[in-house]
Amino acid sequence: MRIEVLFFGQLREMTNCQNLAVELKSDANALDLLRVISQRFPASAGLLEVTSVSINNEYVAKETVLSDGDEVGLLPPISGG
Amino acid sequence: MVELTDKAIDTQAILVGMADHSTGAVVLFLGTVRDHAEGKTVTHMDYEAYTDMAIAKMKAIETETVARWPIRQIAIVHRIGALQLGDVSVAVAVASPHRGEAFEACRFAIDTLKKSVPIWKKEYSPEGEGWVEGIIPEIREK
Repeated sequence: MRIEVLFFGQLREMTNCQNLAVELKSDANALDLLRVISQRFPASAGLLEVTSVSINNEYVAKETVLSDGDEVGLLPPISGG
Repeated sequence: MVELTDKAIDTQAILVGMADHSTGAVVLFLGTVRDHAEGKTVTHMDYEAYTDMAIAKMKAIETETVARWPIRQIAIVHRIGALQLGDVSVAVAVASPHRGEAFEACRFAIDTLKKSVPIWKKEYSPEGEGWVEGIIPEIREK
């Protein structure tokens, strides 16, 4: 399946990547995605440990299975306000 | 109402929006860019948002605040982009019949914003630049 991954904050800056289309096997979950991202951008491994994942604008547990066409956000710890 | 903007926040317009003869109390909170953080001098900041999700989360805060307190008007406005010292980064205003609920509701809204809305800020100082240490948001079961 194909998902759209969005990068923000320090993660976006560190990877120099704003968005990326990723192909994953059909039963992949967010943890699998984080592993793929960590391999693609090894310097981001530490930050990914504390990065939250969103699927279609909702924060999700990392065991959540992804679906084709999902928009997945990789969200470092937030600091709004 | 909720809004994400890259323009200066119009606090006067927000207060005008609170006008409601059924209310006796208006509370306005402004978050502003401060010139120091953790012993460093801050010169300016950059704010970044996951726009669609930030607006969705701000709307959720609006809904929850109105459900929990007798609020007649509420405004949550966050600014993104490059901000200078003293600029307003966020405004939360509520209007309600009495001040107790107005203070509580406003506090709840800004506290919840800080721990749930996907926005990130970066500080610049003479010593360098860095992303402000953030909070890992809670995953709420639906």
